[in-house]
Amino acid sequence: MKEQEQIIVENIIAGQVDQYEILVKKYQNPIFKVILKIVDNYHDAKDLTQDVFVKTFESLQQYNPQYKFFSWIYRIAINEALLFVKRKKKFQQIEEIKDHTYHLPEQLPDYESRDKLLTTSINELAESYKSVILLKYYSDLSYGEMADTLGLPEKTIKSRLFDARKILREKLVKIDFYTAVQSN
Amino acid sequence: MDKINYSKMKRIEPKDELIIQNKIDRSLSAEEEERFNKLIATSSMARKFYADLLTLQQSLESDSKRIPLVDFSTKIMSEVKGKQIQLKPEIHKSQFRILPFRTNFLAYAAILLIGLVIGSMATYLATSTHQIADERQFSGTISSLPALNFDYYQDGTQIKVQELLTPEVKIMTVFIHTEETIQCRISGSNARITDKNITLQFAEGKFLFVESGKEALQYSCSGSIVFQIKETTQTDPSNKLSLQFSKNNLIIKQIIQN
Repeated sequence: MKEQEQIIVENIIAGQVDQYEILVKKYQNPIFKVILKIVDNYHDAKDLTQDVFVKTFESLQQYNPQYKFFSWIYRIAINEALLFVKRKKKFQQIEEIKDHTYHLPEQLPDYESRDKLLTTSINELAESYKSVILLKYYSDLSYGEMADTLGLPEKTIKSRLFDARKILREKLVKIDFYTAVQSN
Repeated sequence: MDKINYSKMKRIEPKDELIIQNKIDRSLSAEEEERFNKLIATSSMARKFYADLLTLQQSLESDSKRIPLVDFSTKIMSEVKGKQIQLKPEIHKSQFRILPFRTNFLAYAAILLIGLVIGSMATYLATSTHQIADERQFSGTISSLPALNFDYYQDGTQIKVQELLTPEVKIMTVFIHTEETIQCRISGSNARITDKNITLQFAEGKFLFVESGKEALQYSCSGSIVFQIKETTQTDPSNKLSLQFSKNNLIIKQIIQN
């Protein structure tokens, strides 16, 4: 039996373009959140999310209905966001910080500075760990949906998430994140 | 606030870490719940690990909730509507069939063409090498190196790898035609292979970048795919490429450069 999204995509390709709005409304927020965490700028994330949906529409004929639509658009979004970060870094000619030292502000940090530390640490994770964190917490996917999206068994996803949380925790311990949270 | 000296604390067993992680995920069985309570009551390291993971979980969840909901649908739809001319149902409908005849035909034609080009280049380079050596006009320019060529066909999955080697550059062309999804893991023995080394030549199907660990790149492939791995040998001539193909978590073929 055809999945509902497969029927929607076929209808769009057949000329019912309005139906694309169903997919946009369903996935714009999880995609936006993932992009925002990677590019770490609201306006850039907003522009990129719109671009991703337009690009996805333009390439709809390449979509393989054997896979979930989210899985496909998620990969496009990740690739676009990473490419954007790479280009931006090159453009700004920012030298990579080698010692990875972070300093908390003098005053007690509010949730914004804590979120910033969290975002920086997430972006330092290897791609495989970053993906599971973003999908679990920012796209709000279940283990099964994450497995579908990344094309990996559910067991692998679970152990990868455990490792990702452990590595992230170690990074946050090093930058006194927990002290800052407990102080507030 | 005083910092905790982790080095003086007893390490947590991996099985206990797993229980704590499952507690965070709210997926503990009654028996594990009991073990968890015991662990928390007796181990300060476990308590710290649990508290940190819980804080991390809550921070991630609240960070995600703080991101305001967006609605770009009006803007996206107005942009998309201007682009609908590009989509013609009679063309696109046929592409929704899984690997139709036309796709197969195009894939094989592309494979044949690229194979022919690589073959011609390899022949030309090998011939050039002899001529140069005989004439002793140049030294150390080009020499033929043992190249890797390989074919695999089983259960509807066909993989062909052709390699072009010169002292300056290594090009490995990989042709895949598969009805089921296969995973392709690419790594180098000494130098790291990045997505900059990979060029997708042809795709009628799926070629998804799955992950990039410290040592390898991994792609998920289905349908007809042709891609090239290119690296210069000037940086690390001894680097040996390794390609591993797996299906349903089972390795079906592994190729390592000589």
